[in-house]
Amino acid sequence: MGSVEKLREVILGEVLPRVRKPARYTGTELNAVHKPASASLVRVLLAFPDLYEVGMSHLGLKILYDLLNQRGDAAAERVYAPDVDLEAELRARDLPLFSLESTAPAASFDVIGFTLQYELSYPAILNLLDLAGLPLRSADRTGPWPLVIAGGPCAYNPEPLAPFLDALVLGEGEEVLHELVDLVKTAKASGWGKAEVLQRLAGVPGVYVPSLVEVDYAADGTVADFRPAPGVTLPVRKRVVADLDATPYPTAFVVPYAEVVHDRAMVEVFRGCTRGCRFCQAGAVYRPVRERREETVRRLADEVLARTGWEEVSLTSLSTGDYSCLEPLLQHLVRTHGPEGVAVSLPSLRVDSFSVKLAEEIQQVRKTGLTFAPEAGTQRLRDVINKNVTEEDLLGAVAAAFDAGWNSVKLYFMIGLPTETDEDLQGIVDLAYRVLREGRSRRKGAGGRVRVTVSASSFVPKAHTPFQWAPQASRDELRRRQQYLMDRLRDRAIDFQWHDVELSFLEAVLARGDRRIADALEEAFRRGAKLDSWGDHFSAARWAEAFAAAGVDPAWYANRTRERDERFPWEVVDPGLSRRFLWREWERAQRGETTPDCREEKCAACGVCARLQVRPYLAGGRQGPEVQAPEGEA
Amino acid sequence: MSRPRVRLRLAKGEEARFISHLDLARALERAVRRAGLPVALSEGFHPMPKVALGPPLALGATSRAEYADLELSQEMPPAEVAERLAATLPPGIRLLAAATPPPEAKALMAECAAADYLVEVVPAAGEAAWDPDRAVADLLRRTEWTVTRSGKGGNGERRVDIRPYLWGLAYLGRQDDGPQGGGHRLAMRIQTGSTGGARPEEYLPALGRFARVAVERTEVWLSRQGELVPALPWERG
Repeated sequence: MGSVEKLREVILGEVLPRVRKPARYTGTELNAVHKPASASLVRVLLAFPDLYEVGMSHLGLKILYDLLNQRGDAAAERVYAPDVDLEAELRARDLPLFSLESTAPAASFDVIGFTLQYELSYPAILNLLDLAGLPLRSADRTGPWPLVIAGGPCAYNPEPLAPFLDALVLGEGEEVLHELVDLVKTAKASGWGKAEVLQRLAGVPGVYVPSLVEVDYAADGTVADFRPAPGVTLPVRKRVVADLDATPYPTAFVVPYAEVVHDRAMVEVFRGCTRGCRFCQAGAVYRPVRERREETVRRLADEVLARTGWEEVSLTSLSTGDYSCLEPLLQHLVRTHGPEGVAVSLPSLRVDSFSVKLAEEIQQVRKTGLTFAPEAGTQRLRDVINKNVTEEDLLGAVAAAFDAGWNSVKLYFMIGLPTETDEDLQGIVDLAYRVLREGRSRRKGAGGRVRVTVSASSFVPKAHTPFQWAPQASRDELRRRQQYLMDRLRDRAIDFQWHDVELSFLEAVLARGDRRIADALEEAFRRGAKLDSWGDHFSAARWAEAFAAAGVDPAWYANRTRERDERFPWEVVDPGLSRRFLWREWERAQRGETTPDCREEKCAACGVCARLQVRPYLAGGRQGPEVQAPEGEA
Repeated sequence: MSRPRVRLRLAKGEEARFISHLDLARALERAVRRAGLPVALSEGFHPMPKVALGPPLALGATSRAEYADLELSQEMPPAEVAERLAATLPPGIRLLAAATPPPEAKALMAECAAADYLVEVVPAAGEAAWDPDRAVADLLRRTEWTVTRSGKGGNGERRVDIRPYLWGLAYLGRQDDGPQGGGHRLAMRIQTGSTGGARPEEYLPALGRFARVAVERTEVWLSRQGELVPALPWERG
């Protein structure tokens, strides 16, 4: 019996019967791809550094899984962070992390690819490498295989993970993935060593190899310079697909047996968002807007449902309410698939009564209520963050929701936004009560209690956004602001939810951290940090000790106001936005000046289209404004 | 006028043995939807296909006797239901039979009375002298076998005498070609349903100490007008 068969027998025969929800680890779901082992295959392990329930809800890896498995010369398998009980079993028996499909040791793959969806999953990445039996640091993994790479939104500040990863892929994976597989194939056939593999990887557009870049720091602790190795060009610019409509999209999604967070079919209707909310990293780094044509979305929805049997199809994007052909598309889907018992859902609603009308047409779930995100409590602050929503929009939306029969609405806010004062906090309170009064008067005699949920998360400044210069409010100040709201949102019909300030602080440190953070990250992992994105596994004290042991002052990263000309560690990579645009937006923010969505009025010269040679594409033939080159560039 | 029903007999194989009862229900609903069967939908905001399963099976067990009733929105011969569904079932779940239950048949859970299991055990290290015939005879002689069960949500414990639920137990001999070769095979018939029941594993401590246990459900029995009948009429040939 080979060692892989032996591992499989022990996992299935002895380990899985002892853990909770073992269906998360068997890899036998519908549409999972099992390719026979073959030395000629490039084997890629797609790793999600969080539990199966979360990872299986994520679209990006499904796209990559499908693209890889469509190739005759590649095989993709999956792995998620094991739950605590499985991890304990594996460690007690000295068994390695295994892939779901073939129960093969993670370290036996040619490539392990992590997705970086949120900063708090970084400890889980280290834990997965450790469970795989691999050294954490790239420099200590002397052979080329498995190559440990990563991609996803957090790759736009790769530096805290720089010593651990062999390479990062910036931007959309559909094209660069094939270039990577081809390169790995050649590398294996030619017997290249790790140094050669990394050097060649650095030559692939969109690929950043941290070990080939040295960072010099100035006396004040900021970045003085990046020193790339010969042949390496900086910054590494992101990859985008120019024509999303023509880009392959998976329809044979893996359908989980076990319950997962978003257990439903997903059809991506567009990529990018140009509303220009100044706090939003996704809105910055996924530009420009590229919609799929309505008939393409219809066809994809038909195919996904036929091949999965899901009872719900969600139209996904950063802001689906903005999709050009949303109304006819929804009507079509409800008419075609409603009789089969399939629900159509929107992941988020725009704050206006039109969106509520659409939600009503598709009978969006009533139990949980409708969610709106005004983000800030006063018009002044909404202008600062460029959230193009008025109080009138919000009141119109909630009125429509109550009239349509909803009893509860949820309002999302952020606290700690730049320039926020107590007046803005009071604005949140006033708005919540106004919504509650609106509900009570409109639901009078209708039965059921009106409920308003107010959720206030703490603002985390992110790289490559206009707020990258901004400090995060101190933890004490954030706690005071939470308390301010808590003291005033006392009505029993208002449910106030907030986030652990310590988690938001850590997120802020990692989001704008540099390479020196890596030591603290490793230290925190050695002290037991694993599934920190799950609040109950998180320990602020452990992180404080880790930062102290690594000689890192976390507040310097989270709470410092950056100078205009400071070089940022994340500028080693480039999502296409011009720095002048971001600075101009930061200045406009402080003056409370808004910037219109570039699809409506005028190109804001953010630089993405001009630099990446792409154009916004709107379905239904609508043309956006002419693209302007960013200032100082022809 | 009740709507047409089709009763399915399904096998849950190795690939599906770790999926829960609820997971199986969901998987079946989705297979029914992929097959485009004319299945009746429940009322409400989230209409679900009317699929009703028989008694739950413990996680980790395989089965060749998982039953489910489909309520159809229009007549369709069971053979056609079977053909279409067989093509869309997920890995590890196979269709063994489909038939129209007799008109007097109630819901599966209302009638289910007992289930048969094939249990394969490998004695733990240091138990080489284990005598299966004697172990079986000893358990059958007992008038009481009390086990501790944890309450819902893991809090609270109850002591239950499950000896009355063990309707039958026999030693079948040693198996060399089973999934875990070298095991001893036992057949058990255990009461199941609303008036009390037990799982095969709960009796094993009374029989010995085992390194490995494999459980397969082989039949589900219904009680109808005082008689014990299989959930579907036996297939012949």
